[in-house]
Amino acid sequence: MSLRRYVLRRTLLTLPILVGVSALTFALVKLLPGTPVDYVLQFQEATPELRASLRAQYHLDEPVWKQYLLWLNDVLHLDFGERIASDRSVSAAIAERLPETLVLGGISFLIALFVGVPAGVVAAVRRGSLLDEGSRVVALLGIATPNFWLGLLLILLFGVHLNLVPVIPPVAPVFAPESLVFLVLPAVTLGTASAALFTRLTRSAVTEQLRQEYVRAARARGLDERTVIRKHVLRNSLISVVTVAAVQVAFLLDGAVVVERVFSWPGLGRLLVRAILQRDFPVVQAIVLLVATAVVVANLLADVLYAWLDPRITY
Amino acid sequence: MPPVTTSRRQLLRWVGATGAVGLAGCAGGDDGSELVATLGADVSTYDPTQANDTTSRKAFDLVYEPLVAVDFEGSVHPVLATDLDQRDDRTWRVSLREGVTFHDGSDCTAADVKASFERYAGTPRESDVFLWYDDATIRDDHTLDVTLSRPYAPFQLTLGGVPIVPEAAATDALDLSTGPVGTGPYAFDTHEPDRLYRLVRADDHWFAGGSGNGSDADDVPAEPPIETITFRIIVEQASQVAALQGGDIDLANNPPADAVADLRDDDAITVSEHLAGGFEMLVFPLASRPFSNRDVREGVSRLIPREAIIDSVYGGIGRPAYAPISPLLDDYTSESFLAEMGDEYMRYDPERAAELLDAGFAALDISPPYETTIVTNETGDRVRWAQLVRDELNATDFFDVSIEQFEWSTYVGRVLSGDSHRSDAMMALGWSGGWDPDTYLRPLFYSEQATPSCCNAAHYASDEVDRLLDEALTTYDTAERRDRYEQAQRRVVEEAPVGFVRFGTRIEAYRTDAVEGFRTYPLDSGEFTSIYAPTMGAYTTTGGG
Repeated sequence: MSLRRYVLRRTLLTLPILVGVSALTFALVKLLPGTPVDYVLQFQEATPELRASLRAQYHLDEPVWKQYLLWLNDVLHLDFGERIASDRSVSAAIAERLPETLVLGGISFLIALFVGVPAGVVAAVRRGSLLDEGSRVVALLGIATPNFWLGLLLILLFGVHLNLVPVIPPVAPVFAPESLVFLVLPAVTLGTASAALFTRLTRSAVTEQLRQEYVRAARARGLDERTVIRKHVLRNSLISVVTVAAVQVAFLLDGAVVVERVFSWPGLGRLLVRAILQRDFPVVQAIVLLVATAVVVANLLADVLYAWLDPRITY
Repeated sequence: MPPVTTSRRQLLRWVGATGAVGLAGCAGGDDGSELVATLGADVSTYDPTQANDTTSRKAFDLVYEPLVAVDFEGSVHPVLATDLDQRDDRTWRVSLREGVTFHDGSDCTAADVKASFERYAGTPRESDVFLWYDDATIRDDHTLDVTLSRPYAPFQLTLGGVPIVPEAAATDALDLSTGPVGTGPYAFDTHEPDRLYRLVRADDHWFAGGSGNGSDADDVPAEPPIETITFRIIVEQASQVAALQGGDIDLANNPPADAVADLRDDDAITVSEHLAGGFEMLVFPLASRPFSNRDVREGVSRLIPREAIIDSVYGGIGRPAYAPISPLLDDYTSESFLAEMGDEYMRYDPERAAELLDAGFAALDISPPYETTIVTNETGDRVRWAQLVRDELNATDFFDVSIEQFEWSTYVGRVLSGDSHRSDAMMALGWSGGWDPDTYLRPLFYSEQATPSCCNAAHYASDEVDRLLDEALTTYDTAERRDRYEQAQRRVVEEAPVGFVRFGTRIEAYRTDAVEGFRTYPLDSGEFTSIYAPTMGAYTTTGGG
């Protein structure tokens, strides 16, 4: 099978996954206590007519399967419907927040990668040294520290005591320099656990490779250690890192919910939490579907990259 | 560690961020006319007929104006009305101020007032107006007669909560959901969801300076000294406090109790507090044994360690509650009455509690320990006081209590559902009242207000209390009303459908060098009143002193 056919087949396979996720989300959202009508009315008394008209407006008077099909049909036309909590469209609300979350997630991911992978390589090369032990402890702390706590700690240190950065986002576009400066703390907070994971993973992958015959052979050929690591070991080690990197995309989106709250960053995470509390079903469904799609696509890319990085893999 | 004061500016200059210095560097600093305050949640609507959340109401409080306003002590002051003249039991003649314009340039007339009332019909806040409104007759552009459906004592106070909007909003020619349009001192500027909500000084506000009507102040400026008010939306309370301490904001609305001591110790920050109109309570499910027994309810109520709760949970802020009406309303309650209710039915007394519980369990033939729960939402302070009550109850032989937490809207749904009084769980709740005593009693203890109609979660029903509340509502004489409310409170406290826990305190914290003249309004959603309320003689400046 050619690489192209493999990619095509993997892409087609993602469709049923997305349908499954969307159906599951739809069903789970229906299980939440309280209905959008209650939210709109704030649990206050209302005439049956008013309730009925509100129910009809949100298709709540239809059977659940029909509600799902109606929604799915709209989604296929890229129409996520109207918000319940306001008169605006779901797509507009999401489009407004997406850049914020992507930039935050993107910077976190880069921090995680550029801190985690080199740290892992160094730890592996100097296995058993104080540096290795130190990185192990730091990584363990990084994985174990809750985002929420770390975020507040950084705010208190850098925002309040040292007064180096603002505690709340500047009033500026997301790509403005002051926004990017502000994003350092949230991105570090969000990226810490991923960086730690990359460190541990790279360390074990590199250690594993260093034991291989080809490394010994390369060294025997007189190649210097630097070239051995960079040209051979790293490339082979990256395969497992790439796979985990894809999963980290989901991890970052997940963590954004907490980090965006602590840093008052108006991204998708904030929108999602509020939508859940408001029983704003269309928004919840759309964001979950979006995140699911991102994870599925990331995994797809990982698989393709995996195949490309290691030509021995057959498909 | 001493704060490094200049580095942030340097850093921002270094990255070329000139525009942000005014806000991020020193809020309200450079031109002295911006106030940066906080909202703990996002604004969900600009339309007063839709707003059930206090955040939205406080956000448009400076944009809309009512006919009259209630000042910091609970007295009524004319705003858009110059005069309210009672013609008979059910008719009031309203004279409107002339020359008032809305932010869209249109004149404010009697037709706008009538339309403002009538557009409440069929909306979530219908009862704000239709509890008393019957009809309005327009006499001329600036006079109208309002007819009430029944004599209604809180009429003037209630008018203070009804913002006047342009008539066009009632005919859908104007859409308030895209931006509030009122007559107030501030006009809506921008709202970036989850980020900020901004108001700017309105050009044509009617106030001409000088003495506020009926107030002692004679030096209120003709226009608000603060040009721009930016509300930053900061959900996380700890981040709110950090933003205040870091100088990113000037004023934090309602900081968490456990941060107040720290803020008081901070020289740069002033903490302003005022007794608030609200209380915390433990609601008993009256339809469920053993809470159907009065002795059991009083027994539990006697085990609520109110003083300890205030000390350890609320950092000494607030005061024990033994009856529903807030001491804020001193026309309708008194220290001696509260003390009497405490002594007779409520005050913490484990020995008395043991006798009562013993009698109650014996009467119901229930063998202890009785396994039950206290349900609560995730508000930290509330969970902690519920835990203290649980510990007290579990220290007796009668109960085995656990705590169950719910996310807020789920919790509200559960507590206000029709059958919460049948579950065996006690409910830890907070209640915010207003300036009229009716707001502390009717929603919670009137039989027709039983859930799901409103908020009587205990499903308490007493013909006597219903009658007293109705009489009090339709009596204009304050002394007579006080008498009815005292009787009603006595009855409620005696029958103990709820255990009252604590009267709250409203707290605002602000940067001393940035804010001057700010006063804390005691009721929820009125927190920002003192930014500019000329008829009450209140205004705030930036710059401090």
